[in-house]
Amino acid sequence: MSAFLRLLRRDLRLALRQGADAAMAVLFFVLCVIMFPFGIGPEPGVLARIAPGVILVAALLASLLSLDRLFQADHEDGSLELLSLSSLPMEAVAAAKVLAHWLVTGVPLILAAPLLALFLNLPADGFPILLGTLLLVTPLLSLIGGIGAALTLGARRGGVLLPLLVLPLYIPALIFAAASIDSVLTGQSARPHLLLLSGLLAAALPLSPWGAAAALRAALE
Amino acid sequence: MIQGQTPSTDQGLAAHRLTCLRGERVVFADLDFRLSPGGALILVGPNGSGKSSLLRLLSGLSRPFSGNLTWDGADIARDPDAHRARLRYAGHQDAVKPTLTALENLSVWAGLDGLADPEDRAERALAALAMDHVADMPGRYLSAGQKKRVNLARLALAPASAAPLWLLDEPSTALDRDSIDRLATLITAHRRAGGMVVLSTHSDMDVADAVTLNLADFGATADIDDAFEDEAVGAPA
Repeated sequence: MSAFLRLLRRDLRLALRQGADAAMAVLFFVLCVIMFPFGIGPEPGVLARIAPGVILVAALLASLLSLDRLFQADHEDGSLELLSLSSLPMEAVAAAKVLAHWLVTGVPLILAAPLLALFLNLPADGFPILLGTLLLVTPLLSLIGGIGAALTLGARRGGVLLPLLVLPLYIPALIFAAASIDSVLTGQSARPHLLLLSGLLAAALPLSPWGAAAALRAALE
Repeated sequence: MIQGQTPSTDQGLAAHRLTCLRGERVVFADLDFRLSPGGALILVGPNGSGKSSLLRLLSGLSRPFSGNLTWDGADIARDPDAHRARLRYAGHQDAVKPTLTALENLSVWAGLDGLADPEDRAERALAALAMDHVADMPGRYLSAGQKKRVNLARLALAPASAAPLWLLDEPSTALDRDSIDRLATLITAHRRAGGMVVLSTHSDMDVADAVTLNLADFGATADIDDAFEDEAVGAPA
């Protein structure tokens, strides 16, 4: 087994043993979405109209919730120093940790989304595109968030700084994701939006580990 | 120039006019030493004299303000990957995860260092520090000394030929007398196999034929302007 897979397996095992952390993001996601019918009123037409946006914004916030611990726990107990001295390049360390973050928080969000879409009365033909869009967006959130988490490592009040840094960067992903679901609901093609989202993901895949690794090296100096 | 065991060769680790800054303060300046295979260097000095800073410089975790470090005559900054592969660093933090058992903690590091059979190696390494009886205990139940021993057990994972340079930052802290003796045994065996050890200590650890470097002798002699001047003209070798 390669060192990359070993680190991934370690992070997944840590997340499973501290099950509360992983469950918290999903619960936050569900509760956050459920708040909207209470706030806006149970008008089915209105809820169906706002469903894609509400689910996407809630997913984005839920993914942000667990992001500040991405590198912090390893930084605090000295593991990050040892990781930087291991045979694994820092880029691979960052990539493994971001992948673990997606598997632990992103994938449960995708699984919980259909249930929430049902709550919000999303039309049936919107379900496949909602899942498809989330499949592209959630890894993007983890990748962009990884850079933010690495940059705010060791900063005082990094937990507050992180959303301020990362949320603006989520905007393009949010725009194209919401547009792709909306276009299917209004009978248009979602293809251009999905292609743009895929393009963002393709750019973030190499750039995020690279940027995060540079920030981690700076944090360790 | 302070000489290690076998002087006048290029082999091993050498520091040339090493200067370390923290903030804008010179921690130590113009530090020269050489450590040859089988040698041991003990860093002493009061708090803040730069023992930990020097160990971090030697590990490549941070860079010197001026001067350089060489391994077998070649600058370590030129091939940081090779330098990382040849050293084992044990700092103040033990990097023990509370939810993983002692054995799992250690086998993760064995696997990340690219060693074959990480679980078997981790078991043997724990036994070397008499920790085999708590191998299945989660990290959160381990005492400070036991966590330290799990961290130090990383040293026993690979033979001296794979990772010849040990950098230990106050390894005897929180250890009981028996554990310190076991660590000393590990260090002796490592040096006999051609390994090198640099360690900092406040209490006296018995390390045979070790060279002692008092960092207090290298602090406060130079002020910051001198250090900047050296940098500007390029520190002579």
